[in-house]
Amino acid sequence: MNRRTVRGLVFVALVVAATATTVHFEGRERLAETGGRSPLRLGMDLQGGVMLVMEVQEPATGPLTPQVVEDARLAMERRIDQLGIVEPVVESLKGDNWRRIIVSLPGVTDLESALNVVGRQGSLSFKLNGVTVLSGGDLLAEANAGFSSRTREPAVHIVLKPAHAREFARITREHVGEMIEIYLDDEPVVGGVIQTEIPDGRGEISGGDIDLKKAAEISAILRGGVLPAPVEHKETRFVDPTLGAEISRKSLIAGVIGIAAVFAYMVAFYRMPGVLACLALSLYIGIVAAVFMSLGATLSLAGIAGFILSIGMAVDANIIIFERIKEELRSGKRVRSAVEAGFTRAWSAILDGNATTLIAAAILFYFGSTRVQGFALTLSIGILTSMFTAIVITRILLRAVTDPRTSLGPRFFGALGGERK
Amino acid sequence: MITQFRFMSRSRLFLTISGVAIVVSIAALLIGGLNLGIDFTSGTLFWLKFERDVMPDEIRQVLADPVLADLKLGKGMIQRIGEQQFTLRVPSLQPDQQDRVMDALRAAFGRVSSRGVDQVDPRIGSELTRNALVSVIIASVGILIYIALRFEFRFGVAGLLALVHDVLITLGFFALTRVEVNSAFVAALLTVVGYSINDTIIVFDRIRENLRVRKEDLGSLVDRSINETLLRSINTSGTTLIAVIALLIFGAPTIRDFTLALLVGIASGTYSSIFIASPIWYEWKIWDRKRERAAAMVPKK
Repeated sequence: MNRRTVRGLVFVALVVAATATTVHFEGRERLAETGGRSPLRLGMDLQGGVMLVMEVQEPATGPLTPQVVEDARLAMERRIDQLGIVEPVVESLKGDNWRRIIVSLPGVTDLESALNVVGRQGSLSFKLNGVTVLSGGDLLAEANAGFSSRTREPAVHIVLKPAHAREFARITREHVGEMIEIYLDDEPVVGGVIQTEIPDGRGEISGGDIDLKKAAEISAILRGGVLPAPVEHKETRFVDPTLGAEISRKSLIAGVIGIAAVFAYMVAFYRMPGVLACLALSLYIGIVAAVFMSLGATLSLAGIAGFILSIGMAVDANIIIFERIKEELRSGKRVRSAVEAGFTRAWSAILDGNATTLIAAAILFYFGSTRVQGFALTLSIGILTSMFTAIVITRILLRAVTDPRTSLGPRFFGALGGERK
Repeated sequence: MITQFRFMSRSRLFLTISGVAIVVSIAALLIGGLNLGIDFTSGTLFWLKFERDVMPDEIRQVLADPVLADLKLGKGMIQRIGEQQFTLRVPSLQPDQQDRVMDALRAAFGRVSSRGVDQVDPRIGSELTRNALVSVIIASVGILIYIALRFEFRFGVAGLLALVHDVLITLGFFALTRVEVNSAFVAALLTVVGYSINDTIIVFDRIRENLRVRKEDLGSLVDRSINETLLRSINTSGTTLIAVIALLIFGAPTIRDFTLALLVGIASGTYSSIFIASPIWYEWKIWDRKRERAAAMVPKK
């Protein structure tokens, strides 16, 4: 083997090692994050859960600005954090859709409750004889779900901030025997006759239809804080976790079968070079997985489809090169020079072909909905990676096996279909 | 390659066949249109699983129950998608209204589990359509510019026409078969755009290369270029279609519109790169040459 071949093989070994290491460590990290379910971050459609698209409306107090949307997003995020959901995603959309916030809640099965926690404005107000005496988003120092100390029923314990507590003490002192009610947005949640002064600003919301779930919802809303503007839901999607698991399993099977069939096709048609192409393709699969994990990207159903499709397209570069080498052999070149010429001449076709597909993928990414973007991302990563594996890696491997100083030499080039001269 | 197909001598025939296919596609689109799913039309889609075999008509009877009259469910579109599993599409419902529908179904059929519910606002659908249209147009223009720079303008236009051909055939196929389309369909169409042009470019690349090397009759040069890249075209489509067919047979039913669109689009893309793109370029080039010659013969004043 000459030096260039050795250097090349060392390079391939390094790439393989780097890929394996990345997949191993990133995968372990994700496994820990998802509680051992998957080495990749899975989208809603694959693991089940609730996905909401919320649109922030014009606030009552002023114009709708990106800051208002961001404040709403943060409030939603804080509320969801109270519920202990693993890996929720709350992000605002870009471009024309800047008013919209997309909320993904993996594993959640109660759509109505999710919508409640995310979508309620969450402004608390106290009404004395039907007249508002205390209101705003900033009243509370604490809110906790628990049980009522009197009735043992589920309740939300609230503690007013000191300034508001003093005000509340004054009101309750002056209006003993009158009616006071607590409203969450426009809905009365608790009410009753004032028995005695409440000096410490402590109270509880209980009774009515408040059960444990509802109490947890209300406390999450109150702790997360008020939304700066009303929000409306524009899109809701719910996938049962068992359905998600079924879809993941089916996609995995389809992927394995698809990849195996492509491998079989390549080996049957191109023999030894086909085997090399399969090796390069295996590395391709590894690199795409590593890149995907490192980016922390979420794998959705559309992403899997994009990936399986990209495998079909990834072998294209190899096919172009192999066909070209066959032609060069037919025109009377020797194996080594045919291989070199094949790669050189196939380059322009591969470049132009992939560049145009990348243009389509980039535009898909820019204009597409979130689901479509996942697909465009896998497709783009796939195209770039496949150019690397098909051109750089396969070339090194082909050079190695056609090296005249190795025993592997000329025996295998016959598989390329050329007549040995 | 021992066998040499003479594509250019039949170029008008292929162009006519495709012309007819395109007319049929456009007619199907204008008359029946696409069967748009809730991503486009808005509404609520339930994915239901029953404990026993249920007929769609039984489900319709439940929907017609006076208890649900205020929800204006209409007949509902019911589709069987697996053993004891159906999707049910009705106009937009709020979560509490969705629960009422589920309660009514449970009252009638015993255990019914909801495996998924999708609800889409009308405005999202129209945005999706607009974005899809805008992205296909921008992608096409971008590709046209790229080819015009790297090749020549005529190649760009010929490639673009082949691309429009593939998109129209795919749309026409869905209009004729009435398979429901959703947002994934848009992604599939864009992929077809990318794939179609990729396939075409490989042939154009060879024509470009052969034009540089040898002076020969244009028709036989194009024929030779197509023949030289024929095996590649077949093998690439072969491997890609294998992957897509695996997805179609073994994959999830929820993206059937996506995989089916890819199947049709890729098949059409392979066809058009061989039988449409090059003949268009060839006919145009010949026509231009004739015009140049005619212009040269006119005596200068």
